[in-house]
Amino acid sequence: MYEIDTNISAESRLADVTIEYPNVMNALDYFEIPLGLGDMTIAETAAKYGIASSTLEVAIAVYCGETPSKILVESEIPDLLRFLKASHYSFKLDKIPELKRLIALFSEQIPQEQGKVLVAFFDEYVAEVYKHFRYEDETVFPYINGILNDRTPGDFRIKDFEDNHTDIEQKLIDLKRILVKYIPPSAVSPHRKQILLKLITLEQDLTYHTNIEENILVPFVKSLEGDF
Amino acid sequence: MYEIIAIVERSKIIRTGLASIFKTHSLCSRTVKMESFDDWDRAFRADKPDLLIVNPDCLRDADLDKIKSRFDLADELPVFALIYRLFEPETIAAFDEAIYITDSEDAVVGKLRNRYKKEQSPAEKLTDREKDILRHLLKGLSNKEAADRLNISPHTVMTHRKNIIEKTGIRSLSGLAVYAIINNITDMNEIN
Repeated sequence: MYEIDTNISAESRLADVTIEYPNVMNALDYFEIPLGLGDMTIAETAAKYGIASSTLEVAIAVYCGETPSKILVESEIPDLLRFLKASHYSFKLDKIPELKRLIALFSEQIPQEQGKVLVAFFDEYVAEVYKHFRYEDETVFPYINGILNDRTPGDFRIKDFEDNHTDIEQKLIDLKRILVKYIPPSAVSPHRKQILLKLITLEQDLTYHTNIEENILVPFVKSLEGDF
Repeated sequence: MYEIIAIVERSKIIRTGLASIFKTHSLCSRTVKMESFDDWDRAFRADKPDLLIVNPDCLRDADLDKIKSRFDLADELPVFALIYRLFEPETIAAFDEAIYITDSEDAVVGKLRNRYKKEQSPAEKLTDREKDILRHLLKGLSNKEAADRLNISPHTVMTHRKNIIEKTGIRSLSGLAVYAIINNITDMNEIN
């Protein structure tokens, strides 16, 4: 066995976990679990909001930085898909537009050419992320729903998804470096730091998101495909 | 500091102890501890460690090169030995560094920090040639096309390209475009 230092279990108090690992707040959002958690454990919270307990547990553990080792069973997968879709929505409707807005503001405070190329760079990154989300929403998730509902799997195989799971994180890392290191100091503006803080959160969120897809969803679907 | 430190060590007391030192000194964002390399594939699926600490006894018959190629690790990945019994000097010399169980806490921390300092990226200043290459790549030229225009081999372009990435810390071409504009290496009209 291998160990990772977080020790999240179904009996962990969700409020304590959230305070120690603030990224968990994002996971709660995607499950539509409001704060004001009281003394509820992860298992109790799952029961209250009608979520499969293992799904909640494993997603929270990932948002605490663990590499998941738990294998989910079939009945727990729909909640996981809902979770992943909800995070796509949140990235698309909330987190990325907010970053776009801040970057537009910031670009007006630096020399025009720099501002333009910065905005273009971010737009290119966003287009890549959206393309990836669209692929998952329109191809991968329907495929999984299809085989869960006992339909024939068609030509697609989850292996195609693994091959297609490109590294979209690199541009985000580049953007951080550009903001911290390369764009020269400009007039006092809160925007640069606001952008960076949001980028850092987004980056972690995306990393966990990918981690769930690669380490929970893909192995599960592979095991199903093996049954055909 | 480090992102992920992997510890391969049979004794739970020792691996937990080591991990607790790393935690106290914030040397990494995560430690992944395992009894043997048999657990490796389960522990590391998507990510990889940037430092590996291993008791030479856990290698069994394999050497470090074999381990690195088997788990698809970079040749440059630093690997430290974790030592608490006698080994042949050449066994220990194969590692980048050795941590002894008799080391003080400061010594252990020092060894990890030292190694990290050496790994720091080179200063960013690009040479004129590198700037030239960058300008060509930003026009949308391939390595081969840029090589033709500059009368050098595609291989040389690749080497320059690698150095540009290493020096600036920016990998994507569109990120390098931002860098080039900021540093007046090129202007908007010249970018594809």
